[in-house]
Amino acid sequence: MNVEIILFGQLKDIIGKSIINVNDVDNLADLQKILQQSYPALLNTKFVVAVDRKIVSGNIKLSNKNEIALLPPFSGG
Amino acid sequence: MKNNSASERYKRQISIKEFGEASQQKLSAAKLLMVGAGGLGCPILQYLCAAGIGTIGIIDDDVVMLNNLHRQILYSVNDIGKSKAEQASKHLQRLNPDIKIISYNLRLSTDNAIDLINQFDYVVDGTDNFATRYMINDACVLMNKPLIYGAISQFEGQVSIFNSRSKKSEQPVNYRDIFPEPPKTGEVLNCEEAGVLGIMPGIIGLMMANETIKLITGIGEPLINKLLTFNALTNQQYELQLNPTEISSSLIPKDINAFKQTNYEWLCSPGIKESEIDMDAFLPLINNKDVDIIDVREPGEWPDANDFIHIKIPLKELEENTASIKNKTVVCFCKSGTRSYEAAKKLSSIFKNEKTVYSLKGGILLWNKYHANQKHE
Repeated sequence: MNVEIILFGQLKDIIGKSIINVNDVDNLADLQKILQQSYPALLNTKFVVAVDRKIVSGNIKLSNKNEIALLPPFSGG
Repeated sequence: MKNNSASERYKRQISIKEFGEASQQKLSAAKLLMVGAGGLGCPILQYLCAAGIGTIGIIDDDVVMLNNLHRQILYSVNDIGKSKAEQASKHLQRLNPDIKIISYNLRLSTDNAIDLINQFDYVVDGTDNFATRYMINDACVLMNKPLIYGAISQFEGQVSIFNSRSKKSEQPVNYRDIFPEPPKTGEVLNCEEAGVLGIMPGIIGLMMANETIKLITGIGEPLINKLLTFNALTNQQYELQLNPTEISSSLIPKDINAFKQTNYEWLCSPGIKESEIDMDAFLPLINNKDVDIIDVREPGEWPDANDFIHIKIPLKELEENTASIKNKTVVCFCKSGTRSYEAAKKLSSIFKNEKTVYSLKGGILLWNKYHANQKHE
């Protein structure tokens, strides 16, 4: 299964794109694992995960239809 | 309306059907505290003062610097080195003499936050560091005050309204429902590292001002329990629905006493206002009676610093001599900037919210080069 992930803030710099696709993943924990392996800098970066425009915590099942976003906190003013 | 000049002043917004006289009166009755008169604070203040918010408090302990002017366009070169809160208040009062503006030339701290916020109905967060953002959030939760939140990171910005409900059945959310705990050092870039395009705080600040007006007057759909992210490069917006979380309520201090004992600077180490300043930023601070400049080198070290008044406290003796540092703004310098950086860190952890401590980047060696160039020009 293929999911699309929208990236915000400095996560775009870490990953190098504003949207990425990840294949063969059906839950959030696996997705996080794949991302951390591909982009180790994510381990030291603070962000929250949103699925279908709601913040989620813990592991949940994913489907093709889910819209996933990773949002870091911003502090600038 | 107070008088004819007031109705003339606001005529063009009163004439909008959805807004009208009733909304103008709600603005006039509102009391709002603007925390931070910087990148976000300036445009917010300019438009909210012009719109006729009746009472506006401005708290900021910083002074205007040359490198602020590309985005903080309420100020001019004549304001450099002067208090942001006081200069902002002066300029804004000229823009609208009919409203009440109160300036607080101090840093919001756990000691003063509760008493200060208590005097206002709405709080707007225009700060630039996590320590103050978490502190404002927690204080507003404890005091049940609506908080208009906004923050930027390069070409993106976030906007939301916390501690409000659009209908009675709704549970209000706060910043900790999005990001329960502050990031640690290195987990996010600060503005200085990341840089900021001047127009960004203008756009996000005005989105915050717009939300403030909608919230006060009850028009439209304010961003209550929603987090909006705006990207200025693509003009794309992304809206998240926010929900209250258990972890959030467990992390907020239990009561006002617990709040006063919370060390927010320590919780968010990147927020400590201890940083390097360059020569351009340093220039307005020299021979300024409101600034203490400290030579942290050992006695007799070369070269001498003859161009500006300063006191001498070697790095090793800083702790014993903090009493001789009187002003709220402090600049440490040494030969090349390494020891003064250590000194600034040390003093920041001693004085916490009381003082803003800088380290002169490049030290006296760079100053001498810079100063020589200036003389030749």
